[in-house]
Amino acid sequence: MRGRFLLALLCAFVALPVVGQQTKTFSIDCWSGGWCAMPCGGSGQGNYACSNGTGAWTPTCPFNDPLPQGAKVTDVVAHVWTHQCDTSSSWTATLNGTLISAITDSTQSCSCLNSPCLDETHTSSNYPGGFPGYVYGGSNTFGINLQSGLICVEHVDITLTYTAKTAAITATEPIIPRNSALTNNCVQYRSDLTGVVTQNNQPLAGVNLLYESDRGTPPDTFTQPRQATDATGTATGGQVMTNRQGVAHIKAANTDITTPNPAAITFQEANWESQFLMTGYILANEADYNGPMVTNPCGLQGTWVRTFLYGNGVLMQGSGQDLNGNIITIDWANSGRPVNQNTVCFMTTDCPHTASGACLQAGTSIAVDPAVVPMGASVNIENVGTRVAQDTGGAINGYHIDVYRGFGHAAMQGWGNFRGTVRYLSGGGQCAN
Amino acid sequence: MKRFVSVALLSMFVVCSAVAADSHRVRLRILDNEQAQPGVKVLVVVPDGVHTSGTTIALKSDAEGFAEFTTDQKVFWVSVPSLNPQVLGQRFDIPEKAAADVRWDLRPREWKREVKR
Repeated sequence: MRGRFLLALLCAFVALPVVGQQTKTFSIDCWSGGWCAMPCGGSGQGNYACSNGTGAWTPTCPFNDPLPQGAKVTDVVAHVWTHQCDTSSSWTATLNGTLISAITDSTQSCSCLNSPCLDETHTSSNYPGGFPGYVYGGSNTFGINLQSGLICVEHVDITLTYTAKTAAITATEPIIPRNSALTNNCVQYRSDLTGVVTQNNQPLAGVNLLYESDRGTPPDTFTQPRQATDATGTATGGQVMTNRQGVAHIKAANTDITTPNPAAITFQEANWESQFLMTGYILANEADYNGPMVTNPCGLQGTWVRTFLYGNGVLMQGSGQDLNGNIITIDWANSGRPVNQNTVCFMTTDCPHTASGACLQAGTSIAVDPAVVPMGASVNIENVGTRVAQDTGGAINGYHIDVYRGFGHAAMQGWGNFRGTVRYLSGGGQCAN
Repeated sequence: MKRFVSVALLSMFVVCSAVAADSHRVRLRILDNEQAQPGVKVLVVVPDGVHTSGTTIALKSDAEGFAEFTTDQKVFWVSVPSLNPQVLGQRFDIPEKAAADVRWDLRPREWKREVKR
């Protein structure tokens, strides 16, 4: 009783499919020309050949690798649909010269009138490391090497047992890392990668997953996962860094792992990982000043409030707007050196000019640290909106943006300094590395 | 008695059919580089109506390179292993209205293996 139980248990175990393996069955048929009906599951009459030359006999039959990329063949079974036409025939079946198995058959089956078809089954050894000589992604050759006797072959059904590892890779939205530097006026991007490795739809633990990009290294450099995949097949800790804008496709670099759908990352818009300090600034408005007047100062004809021109107004800020709406700025060409209230000359202009030469405009211009935000870049500031980096300032360092608000204290109504998120949108010079 | 008559009629039919079938003397001249090849082993397979593999006739070419056999079949396969071991069973079809004597010049080295795919 116990013996039967053990036998049943053994049979049940043998019947279980090997976890992590798949099979691919297909037919090859290089034999034709025979004149009998040969009911071997093929297309019948004329579709066989014999080793004595009946029909177009060939001892080899090529086929293209039908397996998905990354597959590894571990077992080969070949059903050779045969007539055995001698008292005894012996032959071997090979795949690319590697023996599948040898068969000797003494069952004669060679009648046109009654043609029982023999399923001569060749079963290879198990090769966990891969069937020797199998050509992945290319042409393979099945061979029948007759040693004695005479056989006719209709077709061959081949079953390849293989393992296949695939990786599903997900990537976070790119960010601009904390303390990253600009390269050629381009921001640095980083995206965190998570890979899940499966083998025939089962999670595969213990795999050292490696990433690569279709754009090469550089521009895309990787921090590879420090640990092998866990019990869920997941590898964390991978990162891709780049300063090249555009789309990168990330896939597994392991030669035995395929990535059916590489992770596509668009390196363009991205949030800075660090929050920014947002402050606002204005230029002088004569309406905010009072006190003694000055008439015909150097470069101008008329009368203005003295402190508007010489106090902390135009002389300190570089530009200001008078009561008539004119923009007055320092005439650097005609001022003496050093520029002070004794040497300064003024002029009117169409707009106040920024450090980059652009026209300073409320609702558009911001001052930035050009080591952090590329000059000319468009950014979106939380609770402020889209602005362009056009100005700099001695006090604007690091993660600090000074938002230009316009002329006079009235322009600062409703403004309060805050820390917030900034998103890089585009631009910033010739970012073409 | 009926069975005897049936068998007799069937036998007559078979014999008459065999007599009626055209018989051909097939002469194969074996050439290599346009030179006749004497003493070459030539294997000819002809259908015998019984075996899927047919009947193999082993011949040897004569001094003028000829190998000769007779058949009442319309198809046969030839192998010349010494000149082309890759192509076994090159097929030949005897035309419907062929004369009693049929001759082919064979250049086995030029045969290409046909792969049915």
